[in-house]
Amino acid sequence: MKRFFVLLAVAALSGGAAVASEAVVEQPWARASLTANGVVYLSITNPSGAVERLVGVETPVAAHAMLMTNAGGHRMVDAWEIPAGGRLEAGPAGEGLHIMLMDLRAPLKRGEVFLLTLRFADGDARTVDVRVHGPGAMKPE
Amino acid sequence: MTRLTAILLVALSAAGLAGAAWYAANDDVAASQRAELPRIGQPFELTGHTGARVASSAFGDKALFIAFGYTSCPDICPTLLQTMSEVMDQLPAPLAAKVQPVFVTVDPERDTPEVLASYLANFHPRILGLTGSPSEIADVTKSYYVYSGKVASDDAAPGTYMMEHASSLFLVSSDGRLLASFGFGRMSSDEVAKAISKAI
Repeated sequence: MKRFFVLLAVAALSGGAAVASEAVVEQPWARASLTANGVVYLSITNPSGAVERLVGVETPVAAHAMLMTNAGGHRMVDAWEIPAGGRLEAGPAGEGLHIMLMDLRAPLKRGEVFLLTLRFADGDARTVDVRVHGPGAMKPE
Repeated sequence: MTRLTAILLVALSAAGLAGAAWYAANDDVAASQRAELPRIGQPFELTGHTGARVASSAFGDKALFIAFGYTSCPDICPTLLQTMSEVMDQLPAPLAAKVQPVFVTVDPERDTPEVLASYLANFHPRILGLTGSPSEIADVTKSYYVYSGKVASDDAAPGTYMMEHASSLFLVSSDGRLLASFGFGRMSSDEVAKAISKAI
């Protein structure tokens, strides 16, 4: 219950962030965690005429949140680019894009919802609800 | 975002070898052709997720359906294990009985039998988790062309590290022939199950 109020407080704070970017974040979801690390998947569409760059992610549920790719080896990257009029898909398999949560403060349990803030290069931020699905889920159930 | 990377333990598979074997298995492999398939792996003895020592000879004539990974990996490893689980469910029972699914950790320092057991409880019950001493794991990974090494970074966070590892599933006959390999994300579990049905 205490954790719930912490999440609410963070939601209130992050709700004040600027939201001018046209990027649309769709269906963010996570796998139930089996260890101290977790993963978040989502899609971002960019209806604008300019490239959007996602440059950071933060969440109250983990000490670190990192933009990752499996292209050219499993590694952290500084940004994900969403082409003008295009779409980025981060999901199991596929291009290998995923957000890694390292040092979770508590296990992510199926059915829970937590907050994730995405920061874009133009200074905009977007906070979304992330729903937790099964530990081996290949898509939101 | 705080820049955080740490020690990277890098493991790479022999992709060319795996690819060649996949094409071989895609055809109906006659017994005579099977003898020409590349050899992979060697007999091993490791510690199972139950804590008991397991020798590869205990698998008898079963083909090994093998993945390498580690439990702190939240993206690729659950995907591999979920695919493996679905394949084991989809294989007709007589074929499934001829296959031993195995998950070998490349992170033996953290992946104790207890950690593996708790992790694997989320996947198909026939998947056997294997760990061992660092040198035992090094021997096994080397024999499957999965290499590992440590790379330190300047801004390493103490105590945390990520690993890279072969993201393929291998199917290996009891006499050590690579029957098929399935590259990460390139095939659905249906396709893998069909390919295994053909290959064994």
